[in-house]
Parts: sequence; structure tokens; C-alpha cells
Amino acid sequence: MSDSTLTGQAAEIRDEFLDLDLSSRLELLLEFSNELPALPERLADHPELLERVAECQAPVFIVVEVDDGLVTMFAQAPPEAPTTRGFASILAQTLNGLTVDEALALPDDYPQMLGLSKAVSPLRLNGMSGMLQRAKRQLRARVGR
Amino acid sequence: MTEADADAPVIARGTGLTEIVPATASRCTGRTADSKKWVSERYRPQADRWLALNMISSINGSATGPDGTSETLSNRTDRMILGVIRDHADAVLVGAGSVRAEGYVMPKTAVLAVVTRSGSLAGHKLGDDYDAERLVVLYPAGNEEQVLANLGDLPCRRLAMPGNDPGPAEIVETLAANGYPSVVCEGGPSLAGQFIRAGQVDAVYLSVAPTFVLPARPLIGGDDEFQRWFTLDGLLVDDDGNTYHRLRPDTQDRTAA
Repeated sequence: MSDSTLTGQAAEIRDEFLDLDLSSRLELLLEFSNELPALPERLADHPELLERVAECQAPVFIVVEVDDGLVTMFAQAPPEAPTTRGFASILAQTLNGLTVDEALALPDDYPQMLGLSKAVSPLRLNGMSGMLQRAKRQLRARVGR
Repeated sequence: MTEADADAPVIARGTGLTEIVPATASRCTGRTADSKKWVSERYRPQADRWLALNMISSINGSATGPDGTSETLSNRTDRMILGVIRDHADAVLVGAGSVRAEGYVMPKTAVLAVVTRSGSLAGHKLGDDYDAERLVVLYPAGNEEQVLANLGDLPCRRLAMPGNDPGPAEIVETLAANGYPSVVCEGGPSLAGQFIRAGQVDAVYLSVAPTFVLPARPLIGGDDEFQRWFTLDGLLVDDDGNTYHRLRPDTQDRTAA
């Protein structure tokens, strides 16, 4: 069941989902959505610094920063879209604290590994994939790769 | 309460756990491998042969949320602790009713041991891709014919217990004799009550969610008059106010004192 290519927090979060039955996975997704922190003031006051994730129907914005070689992702997603907000929270918790190389090595199909394909629509899963791809693109741009 | 001590793992954003008993005020945050290790040290069985009872409750003592399952009382930290407790066990022991009601997923390493009188596991949500050796069905030898008929071709290991009405001692003995000496019992209330009354419990791990729930479903079943005291060995509290107790049976009779 486990995918050996995942390590660290990504593997922990994937296992947390796979340990649950389908309906409980949705509750866990909701718990993640409640854990997405508000944007820090310096970003909240400058929305132009964030990138809209066009793959999400809901208005979701992300920005990825690199400080001392470690990645931090910030995201804003409305509470009215808990699934999408949950995905943003998962991605932020997965990426935060990784090195750039570790973050870029996160498989593109990570969203599909969480066992949610029977619980949420493909459109929403695609939204999370879009978030991940945009986060990686921002990272590459920041480190000049 | 002091801030995080210097040695505590501080890893990632997430709900933190603070140790209240013993009063170390040590903290762990996040749900990473280091956090699990921190929790794992505290929930390590103190003997090779070990029976721990793991329960979750509302403030008013309900074992389930309004939806009739324990899932609505649980949270991510509680599930992390549950995973740690399961990792320490050879077998996760449950009554057949819990498997039908709760939507169990097979534990990662331990076997899932299900106690049943009838062999009816209809409605279980274990999926169909589990390893048959890791689902163990315990049943009374005296009721074997009916049990085997009800189980049909369900992939599982079948273990008969002696007699027509085996109790906690026979359950523990049968599991130990078949290679599962370290057991965590996750209920339901009827099975948990049997173990408490029989004095077959080495530890009780009780999570209390800060919520009142109606209708309340008792943590342990049984109508006869009964009382048993426990000693608090450990207490963790998370940042959302959920508390995690580790209790062991009192060696003294407080009622008599």
C-alpha cells in the first residue's frame, strides 16, 4: 500500500489518510483545512505577491519562499471551500521545512496517493495537483533552475 | 506551565502535546517521526505479556459522538497516539460489533483480532485486499459449527477458545498461545467492561475530548454493581484541550480505606 518514494512528512500524511476508512478521510481533510494558518501580515497586505491557482474553482492563492535553503509555502483559501483549503494545508505542511531538492522531488502524483480519489471529485484533486505544480515552478524560479 | 524544554522535538506546525503527569512539562509538536518517538516512549508496554485497554470519551463519558461512532470524538493527535499504541501491540482486539459499526481499517503491523460468538461479521468495512493471516477471528469452541458457517469463506485465521462461554482470561490466553502476547483492546463497551470486571487489564489509555455529547453511550457495558480504582501513571494534554490518560489498576482497595 505504501509508496517507498515518499519520505518524511509527505509519507506521514499519506499514511495518516490511508489508515482511515473513506468517510474518515474526509473528516481528516476537514481537520487539515482548519489547520491552515492565516497569511502573515506582510503577505496579507500584498496579495500581488501571491499566485492564483487557476486549476482550483475556489479562489486559492499560494506563494513559496526559500529561507536558508528551507522551503515555506503560504496559502490562502476560503473556509467555504474546505476540501480545497484542506489540500492547501496538506501541501503547506508537507513542503514546509524541506530543502529545495526535497520539495522538488515530491512526486507530481502525490495528491493521488492520499486515497481520496473515491471521496472527492477529480476536479478538486486536479486543483491540488495544480497547487503542487505551481509551488514547484515558483521554487525553481527562486533558485534559478 | 513552562515553555517547550530544550530537548523536546519541535518539528512542524501542528497541535502540540504537553506532558502534565509526570510533571515534566516536556512538549512535542507536529505529527512527525520524532513526535511519534516521543509518544512511543510513553506508551511502551511494561511487560512482554500486556493487555492495554484503549478508549476515547466525551466529558460526560460517552464512547461515541452524536453519529454513533468514536470518529467524531477523535482528532489527528489522538489518531497518532492510537497508531503508536497499535505499533506496540501484537494484536488489536475488538468485538465483532465494533468491526461492523466503526469501519475498521487493518492495523499496519499488528493483527486485528475480532471476538465473536456467532461468527457474523456482516457489514465489516475491512476491504478485500488485506492479508488473511492478519485478521484473526476468536470464537467459542462450543459454537464452532455456527461460527464457521457464518464466517463462510472470509479470509482470516480462525482461533477457537475453550468452552461455550470464554471470557477475558481465555481471550488473552488464546492470543498469547498463538503468538500475540501484547494486546491492545479497543472495545466496544461490552468487551471493555468484561476486561475491566475480570481484572485482566494492565493499562487503560483514555482520551477525553472536551465536548458533551448526547445521546451518550457508556464507555463500558454491564448492569451489575461494580467499582474498580485506577492510578494515573501519565497525562498528556494537547493544545485543543484533549487529554490523554495512562492508567493502571490500583493495587489498594480505596473503598475499604
